Amino acid sequence: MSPDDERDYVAYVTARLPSLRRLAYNLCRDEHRADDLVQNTITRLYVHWTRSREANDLHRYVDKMLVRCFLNDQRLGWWTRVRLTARPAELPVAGADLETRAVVQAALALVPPRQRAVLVLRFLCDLPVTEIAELLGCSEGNVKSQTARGLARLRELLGRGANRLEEEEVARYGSR
Amino acid sequence: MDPVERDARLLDPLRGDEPHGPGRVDLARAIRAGRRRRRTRRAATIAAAAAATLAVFVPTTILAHLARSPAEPAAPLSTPAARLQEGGFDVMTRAFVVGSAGGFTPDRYETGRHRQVIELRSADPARRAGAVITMYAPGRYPAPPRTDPAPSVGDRPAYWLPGGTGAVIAWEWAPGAWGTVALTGPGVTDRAVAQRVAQSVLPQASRPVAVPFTVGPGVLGGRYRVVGVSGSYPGQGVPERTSLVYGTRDPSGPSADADRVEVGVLRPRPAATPGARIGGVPAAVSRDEIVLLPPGGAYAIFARAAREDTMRALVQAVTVTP
Repeated sequence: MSPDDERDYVAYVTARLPSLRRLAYNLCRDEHRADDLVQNTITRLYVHWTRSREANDLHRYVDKMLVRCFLNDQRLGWWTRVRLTARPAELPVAGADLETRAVVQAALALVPPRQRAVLVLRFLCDLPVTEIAELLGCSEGNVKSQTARGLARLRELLGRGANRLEEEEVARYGSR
Repeated sequence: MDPVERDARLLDPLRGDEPHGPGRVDLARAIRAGRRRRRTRRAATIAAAAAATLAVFVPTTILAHLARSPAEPAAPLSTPAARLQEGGFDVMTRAFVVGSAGGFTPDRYETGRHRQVIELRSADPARRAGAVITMYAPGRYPAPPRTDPAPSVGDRPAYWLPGGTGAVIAWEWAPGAWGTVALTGPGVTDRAVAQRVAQSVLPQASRPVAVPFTVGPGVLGGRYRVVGVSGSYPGQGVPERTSLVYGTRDPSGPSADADRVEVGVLRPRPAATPGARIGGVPAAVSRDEIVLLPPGGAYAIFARAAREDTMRALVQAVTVTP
């Protein structure tokens, strides 16, 4: 890679790093794994930088790389995972409703990876169905069905926690 | 509210949830790893290309060798084929060796780029029969009609050719390269004889032809060049005869081209009666040949051409090497 290309790469990645970490964190719900995911993604981006920068929408292209990395990582077996010998340090979490967030976070982590990716991209990254379909390389209908199944699974996992969220929703928007 | 939108609110508590701290993503490490991976991929690509090349060429070479082996059992067989890749035979080498077969013995060999001709005479001097072997370079002789198959020649396909006064056989001595044997003279129609003569022709390793004389430059003009070397097979009562064949283009068949010019030496000198002097040297002059008979020499110089002045100039330009 030429020095000019490398400069462009550094500038781009530096600017995109926060959003990439946020997307990775939403997908993994684990800061360490999210960082590994971003690290892998920007390494792959370096290898394919010359081709990648010619993409029509570089942001979407890199997001797609990250989602692909995430899904590929999920397909790998347990032998590829690093088993830590000690628990990561507990970090203070900002926000008021810590309990609800912890419950939803735990439930989302149990949703199958592809459905989780669809939910995160659609409801946390606010991407339209069309873009998600492009990002995941599938049809819009597939995105919708994955969304429905993911939400059903999430509702099932949340159980009582979900019912509480629903009550809050009714209180806010009135009767359904 | 749309049920999906309503269910989507399940994720609302996670909105705005950000990873804490600076994180462990290391841009410099990504660049180092990326460079390493690019180098590895480049090396792998080169290795794959080399492997693919070997995978194509090695089996091809082996298969070609295996396919050729039964038909061309001797090592010399591959040599003419290799030379042929360059556009034909080498004019200064004999590409084939011919043995005596079918009652015939080799009499004269003429090299050429597109074809090489070997004339045979009957081993019995009283018999006026002969044979002409013409070996063509690949692509210089069209594949014969396959209507009349002949017994294979050296395990190569062979066919009888129609026409002619005697038996004519054609065989593919190398892929795409054909040779023919035509029997000439009265009463030589035995196909088995032609097939045996063909069997006696074997490609050989490059064997340069020795030319025991030189010809001074500028005698024939720039259009002419050496297109062949003709040499006899000396035997009892048969003189050694070596000549250079000139022409404006390479001969493509067994017969002589109209512009053919030939100059050479004969040993021992023939018993010709000199009727003229050329450059002070006795010479026998006829319409299509001049034989120069240097006094005291054991050889004669001869020239054949359509024009007498050309023949005169040629015989005077020859210097016999010791």
